[in-house]
This record gives sequence, C-alpha cells and structure tokens, in this order.
Amino acid sequence: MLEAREISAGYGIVPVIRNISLTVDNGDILVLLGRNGVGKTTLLKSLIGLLKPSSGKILIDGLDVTEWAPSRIAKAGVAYVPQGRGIFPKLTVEENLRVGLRGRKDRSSTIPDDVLAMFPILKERMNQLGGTLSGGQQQILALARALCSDPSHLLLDEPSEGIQPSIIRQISELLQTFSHELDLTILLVEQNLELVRTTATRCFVMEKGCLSRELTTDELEDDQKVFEALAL
Amino acid sequence: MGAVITISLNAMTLISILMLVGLGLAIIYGLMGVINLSHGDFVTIGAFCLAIIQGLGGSFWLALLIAPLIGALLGFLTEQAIIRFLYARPLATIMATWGLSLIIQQSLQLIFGAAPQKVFSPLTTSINLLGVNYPSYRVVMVALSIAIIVMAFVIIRKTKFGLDLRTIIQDRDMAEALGIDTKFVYSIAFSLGTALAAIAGVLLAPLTAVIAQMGINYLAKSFFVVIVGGAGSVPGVVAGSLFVGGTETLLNYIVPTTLSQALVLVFAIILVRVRPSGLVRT
Ligand SMILES: Nc1ncnc2c1ncn2[C@@H]1O[C@H](COP(=O)(O)OP(=O)(O)OP(=O)(O)O)[C@@H](O)[C@H]1O
Ligand SMILES: [Mg+2]
Repeated sequence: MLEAREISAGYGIVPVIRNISLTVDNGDILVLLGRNGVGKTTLLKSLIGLLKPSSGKILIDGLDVTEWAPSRIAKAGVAYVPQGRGIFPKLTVEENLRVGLRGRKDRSSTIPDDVLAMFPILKERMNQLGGTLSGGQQQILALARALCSDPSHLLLDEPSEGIQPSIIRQISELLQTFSHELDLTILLVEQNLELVRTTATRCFVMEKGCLSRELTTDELEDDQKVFEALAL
Repeated sequence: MGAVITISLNAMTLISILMLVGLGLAIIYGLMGVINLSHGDFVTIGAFCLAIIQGLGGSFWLALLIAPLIGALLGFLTEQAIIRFLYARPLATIMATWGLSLIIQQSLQLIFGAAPQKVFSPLTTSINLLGVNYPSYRVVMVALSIAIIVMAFVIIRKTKFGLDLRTIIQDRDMAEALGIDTKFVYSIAFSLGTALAAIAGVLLAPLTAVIAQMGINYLAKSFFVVIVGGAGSVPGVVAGSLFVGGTETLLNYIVPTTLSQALVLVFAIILVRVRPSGLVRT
C-alpha cells in the first residue's frame, strides 16, 4: 500500500502540487489522468523521493518514508518507470537490467530468469547498447529493469508516450500480468485512453496540482464523461 | 635512433604521471561535475608521504602502499566535510577547493619548511633498452602506471562499483531511483581519485623537487589532459595524457620549457575548438 498524505511539492517557492492525498491499495492499478503540466510527474517524483515534499507525508505499507533517499525507497520495494523511460543509453541491455538489481533487498546479482523469460526481445539483445533500442524496445527494457528489483509497488509515468499501438497493447497485457500474477501494486500516470481502460481498477483526475475527482470504471468507458472530467 | 628512444622514454615518464593524476581528476569531474582545484595537492601529499616514510626508515614500496591510503582518507574527509555540500554549486566548489589547496600548501610549508624534502629512488641502476641506457626506476614507474591504469579500466568496465559509476555519470536521478546510493558512490569515487593522485606523487617524487607547491604544475597539466581527452572515460585520459605529455616533452627539446608549456596550452585550445567533446567521445 502506497499512501500520500496531504503532500505539497514543487521546484521553487511556489508548489506545483498542493495537499494531495492518495492511497494506492494492494492489488490496485490506480490510474492518474490529467492534462499536460498539471503536476503528474511532480507527484510521482515526490512519491519516490526524488523531490522532497514541502509538507505532508509519504507512507509505504504504513512506514513513513518521507525523509528517505530515493535509493532507500527503491530498496523498500518501490520501482519507477519514468516519463521518457530513463534508459542508460551507453549501458548495454544487460547492464541496464543489472542496475535494476540494485533495488533488491536480497542483494542478489543475477538477473532473474523469469524476468528474462517474460521479455524475449531483450534476451536477443543483451549486448546491444540501450541507446540503440527503439522507443518501444526501450519501454519494454524499462519495465523489465523495474521488475529486476523484485518490487511490491510499481510507479509508471506515461509508458505509452511516443509508442506504437501494438506495443501499447503489449504494455497493457504486461501491466495486467504484473498486477494479477506478480501481485504488484501499480500507480499509472497515463493519457492513452485505451491503456487506461484496459488496466485501471480505479482512476483519479488531476487538475492544476490537485486531484479533482474520481472516475469509476464505468464512467471511464464513456468518452463524454472522460472529456468532461479532463475539461477538454 | 638513440635520441628518438630517449625522447620517447622521457615522454612516457611524463605521460604516465599525467595519466594517474588525470584519471583521478576525470573521475571526480566526469562523475560529480566537481572542478577540484586541490587535486594537485594530493599529488604533493603523496610525495610528502614518501619523504616522511623514508625519513623514518621505511622503504619506497611501503610508501607506495601507504600514500594512497592516506590520500584516500584525506579525500574522503574532504568530500564529507566540504564537497558534498556544494554539488549543486560549481562556483562555490571551485572557490572551496582553491581555498583547501592554499591551506594544504601553507600547512606543508609551515610544518616542513620551504626547502625540498629528501626522497630516494628505490632503484639506482640503469637498464639497456634498444641500445639506450635508461634509469631502471623510470621504466618501472611507467610500467606501474600502466598497470594501475589498466586496473582502473577493468574496475570501471567489469565490477559492480564500476557499473554504478557509469550509471551515475549518465543519469544520477535515475541511478538513485533504481536503488544506487549515489552519495556513497560519490564519496568513494572522490577518495579513489585522491588516492590515485597520491600514488602519482610517490612515483613522481624521486624525479622532482618535493616542495609544498609541486602539485600546481600537475594540476594545470592534468586539467589539459581531461579537457583534451574528454572527461569521464579511461581511454579519454590515456589519449589526453599522450597528447599533453607527448607534445610537451617533444617541444622541450626544441624550445625553452616555459614556451613549450605555453604551446601545449595553445594546441590544447585548438584541439578543443576542433573536437569540443575531446579526443575520445564517450
Ligand atoms: N525541473 C523543473 N523545474 C521547474 N519547474 C518544473 C520542473 N519540472 C516541471 N516543472 C513545472 O511543474 C509543472 C508540472 O510539471 P509536471 O512535469 O509535473 O507535469 P505533468 O503533469 O507530468 O505534464 P506532462 O503530461 O506534460 O508530462 C509544470 O508547470 C512545469 O513547467
Ligand atoms: Mg509528466
């Protein structure tokens, strides 16, 4: 369970997100919808410790991690797939995956076989540099790397951005597998409605630094309701 | 023929010292973006370690083991006490490390005086290389430096710590978010850099006057090395050292030393104009 209690955060004096409270329950795929620039990435960065909130608390399974360094939060089981994927371009695919192992509690230094089995396209390219992969392949690598830390929570920032529909469908299937078979608790920031509809168990809309409302899965199916909520 | 070999061997002597000093500087700059103006003084500290240890009756080889430990320890303390608070402020780092440099130089001078310290070369023989008699010590020094550089290369390419370093150089936030304790890696890397400088100091000491200001000369040259070679990679440091050390040694045979040093600077500037990312692109 991942919990934000009235957190505010930003880059200068003026906070970008204000008093956001949010709970991602175990087993949920909670989706955050919101237009460009409302602070979705800012919220995720605060949750994983890259941005220290100016007020409020962050809890993982009830443990207060607000003051923790991101590396410590990672080791507590929170994996992060950032907007833009965050692949290290000059490391090979294998090295990118190895870096993913740094978040493991058991300090194991072997890439788990079941992760490799889940991503056959990576297995063929272990020695290729991360920067030479296509956008879709990089996204798959980012997902695989996140799994290498054997996390309990997964935070994803617009994994569909700039990616072709067939890979988006693959990502959708993967997220459902992560949730159902690996028991991952997932927080997904996303704008692609297809991906949102096929994965969300809950959905919140974000507007100018605050959560404005919740959309039920039924409301999500209705284009009109979604556009209204997003004020498009 | 004999002259060519002598010049090459002399060049190799300078190049190998520059590689060691430059590598430490390149790690610190490439990884943390810290311009460490006190780096040369860790070379001095290494040389003074040799003087002290030999003064107490210890051997050169003992000093070669102890000096890097002292260099690492002092580097670690410097990082913990000063550098770590200034990472986001390059100008402040430059000022602080410059201040530290002055403090180290003045303290050494106060304690040990201005006269050169006595140090002894561990080998006084010479060996015959391709028909040229050359001091054995210099040959050993070059060999040791190459061995250390190769070791550093292997560490950076093949070990867990090396992977952490390469990861952080590319994207510190992402490295941290994946579970790498980047603060810890920074302090270890900084210590490693100062340890390398101290080793260079020991190796260099028998060939030069060991005084409190000896580091300045090597600081400037190793900055050229890093700028010319490209920061953040071992091959870059090797290429930069070959360029700076080779050019300077060669010019020294043709023009006065001061002029040759100025010319190296001019060449370095031209080279950086032509290849802004350095000789070796990373
Ligand atoms: N590093 C930064 N420094 C200063 N301001 C920033 C920084 N990053 C983001 N901002 C500002 O914070 C606000 C929210 O940005 P954020 O990236 O969180 O939005 P977002 O909802 O993720 O948008 P998008 O959908 O485009 O990714 C924007 O106004 C942005 O300009
Ligand atoms: Mg964003």
